[in-house]
Amino acid sequence: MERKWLWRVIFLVLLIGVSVAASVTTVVRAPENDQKDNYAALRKLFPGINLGLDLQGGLRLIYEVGVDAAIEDKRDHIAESIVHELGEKAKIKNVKAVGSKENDYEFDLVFPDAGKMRSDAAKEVLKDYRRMAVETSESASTVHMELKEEIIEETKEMSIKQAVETIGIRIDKMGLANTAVIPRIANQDIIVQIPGIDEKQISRIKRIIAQTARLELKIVDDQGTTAFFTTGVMKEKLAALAADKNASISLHQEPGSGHYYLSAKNELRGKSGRQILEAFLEGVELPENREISYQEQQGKDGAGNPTADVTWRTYFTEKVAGITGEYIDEAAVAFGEQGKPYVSLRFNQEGAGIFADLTGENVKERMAIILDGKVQSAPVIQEKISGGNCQITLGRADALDNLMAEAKDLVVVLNAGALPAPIKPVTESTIGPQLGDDAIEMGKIAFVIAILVILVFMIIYYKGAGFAADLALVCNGVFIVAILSGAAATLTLPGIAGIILTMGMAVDANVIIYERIREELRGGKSPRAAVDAGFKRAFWTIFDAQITTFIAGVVMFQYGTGAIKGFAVTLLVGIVTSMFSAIFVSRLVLDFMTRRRTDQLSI
Amino acid sequence: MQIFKNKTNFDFMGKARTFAILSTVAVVVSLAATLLLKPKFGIDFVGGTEIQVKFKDSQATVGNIKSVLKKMGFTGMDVVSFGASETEYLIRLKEVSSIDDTKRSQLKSGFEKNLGKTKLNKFEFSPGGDKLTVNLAAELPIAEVESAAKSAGLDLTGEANDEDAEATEETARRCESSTCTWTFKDMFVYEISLTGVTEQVMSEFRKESWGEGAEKMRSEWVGAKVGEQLRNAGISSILYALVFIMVYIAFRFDLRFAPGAVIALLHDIFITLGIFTLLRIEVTLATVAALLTIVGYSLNDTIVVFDRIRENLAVSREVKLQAVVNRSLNETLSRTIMTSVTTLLAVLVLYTVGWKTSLRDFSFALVVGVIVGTYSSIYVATPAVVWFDRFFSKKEKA
Repeated sequence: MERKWLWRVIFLVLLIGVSVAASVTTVVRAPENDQKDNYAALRKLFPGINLGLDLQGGLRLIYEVGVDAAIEDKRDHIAESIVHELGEKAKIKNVKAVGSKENDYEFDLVFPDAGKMRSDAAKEVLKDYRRMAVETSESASTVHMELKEEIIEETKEMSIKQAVETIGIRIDKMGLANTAVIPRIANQDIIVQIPGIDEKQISRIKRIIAQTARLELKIVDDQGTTAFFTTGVMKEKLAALAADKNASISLHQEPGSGHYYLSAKNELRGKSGRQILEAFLEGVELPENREISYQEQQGKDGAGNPTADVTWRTYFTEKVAGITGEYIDEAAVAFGEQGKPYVSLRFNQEGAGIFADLTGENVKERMAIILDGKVQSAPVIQEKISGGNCQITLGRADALDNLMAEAKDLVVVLNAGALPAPIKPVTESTIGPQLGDDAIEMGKIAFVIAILVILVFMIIYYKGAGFAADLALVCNGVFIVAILSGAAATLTLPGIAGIILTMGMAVDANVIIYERIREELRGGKSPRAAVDAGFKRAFWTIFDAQITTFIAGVVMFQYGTGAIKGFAVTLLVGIVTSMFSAIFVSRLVLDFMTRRRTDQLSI
Repeated sequence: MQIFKNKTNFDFMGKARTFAILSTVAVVVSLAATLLLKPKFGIDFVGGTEIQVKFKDSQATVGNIKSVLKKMGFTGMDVVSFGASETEYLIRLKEVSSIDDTKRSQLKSGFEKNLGKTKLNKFEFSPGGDKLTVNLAAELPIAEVESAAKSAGLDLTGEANDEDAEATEETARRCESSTCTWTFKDMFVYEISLTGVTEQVMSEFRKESWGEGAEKMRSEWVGAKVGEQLRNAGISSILYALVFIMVYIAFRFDLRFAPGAVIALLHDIFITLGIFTLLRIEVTLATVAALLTIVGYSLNDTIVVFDRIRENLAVSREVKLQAVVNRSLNETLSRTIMTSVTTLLAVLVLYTVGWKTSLRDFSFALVVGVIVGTYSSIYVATPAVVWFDRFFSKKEKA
């Protein structure tokens, strides 16, 4: 017995030693002196407890992901490729795909006639797509289709995961540390947690996170412009425009090349130039794969100085983007003439190839750089660009500071890529740093008082054995901190409450054992035998009693978010450590107290 | 020291009937309160805005704060002194956006008028009220949508920086492949950033003589839909916990112990909820966590008693379950009281020291739960086991 006891003491001492070492990174700040390296090494082993948002302050947002939009996108894509396949394989042209207006997963394929619809070739093509979309019914020359459930689910999940990745990169690029972006697939939302930020940054952060950021480069069809402006309906419209002395729209020719474009000023408190232009062009049929793109421009006076006017102008561009932001490898802020910032882009390998072909085929043409539907600039392609570099000059000539901020934000979103689906915040909370400090202070006080009260109470009630329980309780405290520190767990305010609560519950095991020992003593057993019997018979009672709280803790961990999860973690850890301390540590002390065959036990 | 020097021999079972009536009354009252009066749900369950503000001036009183809020048009509000300093308050608003239904339709018609000919398909505020999504039949320049919104009376500018007055445009996805004849959908979606409730309230406070330098300590808003999700998740989490625990008890003990444990747990949950409802204390996510803890803790006591009953049944020649149960209750009495006392001490310290923090209601729920839980393991769970046993053995005989 003596030898076995010694081994147990050595084991406990080692365990406490490791625990204390593990707690150092949590309890002690990183030293500045020559111990710095040792501290860093220790940190690798035991990362230390992280403070939750409620303790260190910060921003927490929950974004709902518009998965419907992603599913719609997927549906459009599948329908499109079916139409394409019908044209290629089945040689059935002019099939139209029409998406349902009611939901985001149904669509119709409108065939030119019923015969073509029923043809084996058509059936064959549709069969190939069964994995993604199935026919539900047909009427006249229309086949009703709907996306398969698995495809819908997969798309939802993918869009949430992609959004998480994109948001994560955006946040990283803003230089914010220790952030967390957590997807919750079942809820179709994303939790974003950013600790310790300045209140003034919040609106910028929110804007950057939620911007869609779709970049498209489209070739400007300058040759087609002349034809477009000088024939058909356009010709008549322009003639009418020339006759109208009060027209708000004016026709221009590009200096040098002489290509036509229209422009209109924003009306004061009225329509914008873009709206005026769009109203003017309404009903004008555009050639295939052509569209009008718009650019917002700062007005200039005769001397070239900016005025308060804002003008919108048109570009006659291709409808299909030559290349999109998907292929961006890196974007950076660069400076042009007079220190004016612009964004320089580098495409990835695949993108560089596409970009080289695009620029090679369109030398001397212009290329419109369109961000979220607005032309930023339209430089002339001087030569084939094979390095994959491109630059975006920012639209409005504004104060340099504003331009700089705009360029920086643009770089962040371009580098992170576009969001696969729009997101919107559904919950937001900000916690000031002051509040967190107060909470930590309160936690410390409550912890110390609670422990002292329980320590004193146990000694009064159980005397010598109470001391054993107290020792176990102190060990328990050290073990909890050590485990949380080693696992780099996040401590929240309810988490502190959890620790304090388990301190109260920790003595429970001791109480069960001691009451049992008292019973055995009353029954006439010697102290030594009573201790043995007490521990032996109490173990399963303790186990059964603690496991129910443990189950509740596990459920809470599953259900809870943020702060509540912190409570569940400390509760779970506390239950395990308190059982160990009560059974192992206090047993050790009681064995020591009864090591000689005394007939006295202070309990 | 010992509370009970010698073996106690209280006749618990004899008085069980009296306490059963007491418990039934308490549960019925609690249930009635919960169902009729409805608990006061916190913003995490019903949506709303919560702002904790620290003022510098002692003139910042509940009355003054409320009058500013009323002037702003808020109806459901709750302002309480809260936090570390005297002039710190917790403000709860029903609204997550200052735009109520009447104002919404006004804004909508105003916006529609400003748009001119363009058709408005959708006009929707985000749950936080800081984002407006409009869906137009034609593509409009952002500046135009913005100015339409502004002249309709929407507050586009954030308090400090004009940067907020920006709308991001998300043009409808267009067909991008040359073979495509995709004709559906010609809608254009715009998202306009608005000033949220928190910023509006804070800037109104700062305009007051006593509100200068008011500091926002914490703010939170939860959309109604999320609130509903959380509420449902909360209820199902408690049910899950109950089921798992029951399975464990049935597996470890005896099936006839299970109903007693369930009844005791429901008793504890209903009474705690009832007390919260009657005292008008907010039921929040933290309350659910407290209820889950109570479920675990209350069973802890119950199980120790059950364990002893099982042990005594195995060795005792006593035929009557009631006598065995009574003896077991007596044997475990000092233990039951002792653990409750130590846990209660810890929770009371938490309640007193944490009075000024968000832990107040949480620790109050734990205080109530520990007391009710201890009572129920002696006077609800154990008698229930005896009565169920009697009920079933009668049935068997019949």
